[in-house]
Amino acid sequence: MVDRAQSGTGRERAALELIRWHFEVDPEMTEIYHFDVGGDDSDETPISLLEVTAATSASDCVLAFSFPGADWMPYWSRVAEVTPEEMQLVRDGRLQLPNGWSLLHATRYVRENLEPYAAEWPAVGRRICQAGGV
Amino acid sequence: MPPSGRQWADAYARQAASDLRVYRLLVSSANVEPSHLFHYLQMTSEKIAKAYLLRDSTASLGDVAATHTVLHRFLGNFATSPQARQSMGWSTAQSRAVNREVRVLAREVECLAPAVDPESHPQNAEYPWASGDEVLCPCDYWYPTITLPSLGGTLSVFVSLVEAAIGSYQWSRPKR
Repeated sequence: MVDRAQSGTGRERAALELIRWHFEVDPEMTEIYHFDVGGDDSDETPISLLEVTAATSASDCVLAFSFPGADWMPYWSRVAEVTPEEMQLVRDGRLQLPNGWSLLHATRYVRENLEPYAAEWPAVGRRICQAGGV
Repeated sequence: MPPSGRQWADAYARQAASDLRVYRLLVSSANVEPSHLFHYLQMTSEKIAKAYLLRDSTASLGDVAATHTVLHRFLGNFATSPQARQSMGWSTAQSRAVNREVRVLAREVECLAPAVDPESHPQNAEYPWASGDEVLCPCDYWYPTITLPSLGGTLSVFVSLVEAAIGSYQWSRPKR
């Protein structure tokens, strides 16, 4: 299995930085799915994340919001959050993901397998498994 | 041809900015009851959340207008967005506290809209409601869950985030 953090593009490294940050600021975050929606270092295709956290409230749909980048993370990001119970509905196919997102084309990150926040770039954000196989 | 979702989104963002200006005006005015402040706070924050949703999704205007759980999800996401992290200058510990407390306050602000939860949370910012054998008026109510001293700091952070979200609303759109 290829470690994206080792071989990744600027987009992938930026995505890992964003994922680490979101785990850091939400202690109730348990999983983050990073969707492969294409894009390269030069375009505006957002880094797309589905975040599982008990800090949010259940809704009847998955709401994704897009945000511009900043100096430390110079790409657009598109983020949706769901409760752990809603995540199960997504896995069961009973709650629909936004257009273009599929668990078959996502990488799953869990808190326990992320290196400390101050770690060097290549050491962080280890790829755990293909989300579609979870 | 009917207006596009993007046209609706931009209009929601413009109206959110206008609502925020009125909120600021009311805050600086003497003898204004809290209900009026919170009414405008609820309106500006809901509209900017819906502007982002209309811009960023294929949801219909009808669906977006009908949903009432947008704000706490939007503001929680925005508070940890790259730009907010950079512009607010919070430490990690502060960001963690903001992420937690703003979500709580956002739920309270959502409930200020009378249609959201009239059974268990009748205290809204617009219309009188029954409380036992009394009828209470918004203009007489102090909204303790929003004005509690312990939440005072959070309220100013909440308003700062809404203002930043309005300022950050992009008049261009990322690719899906």
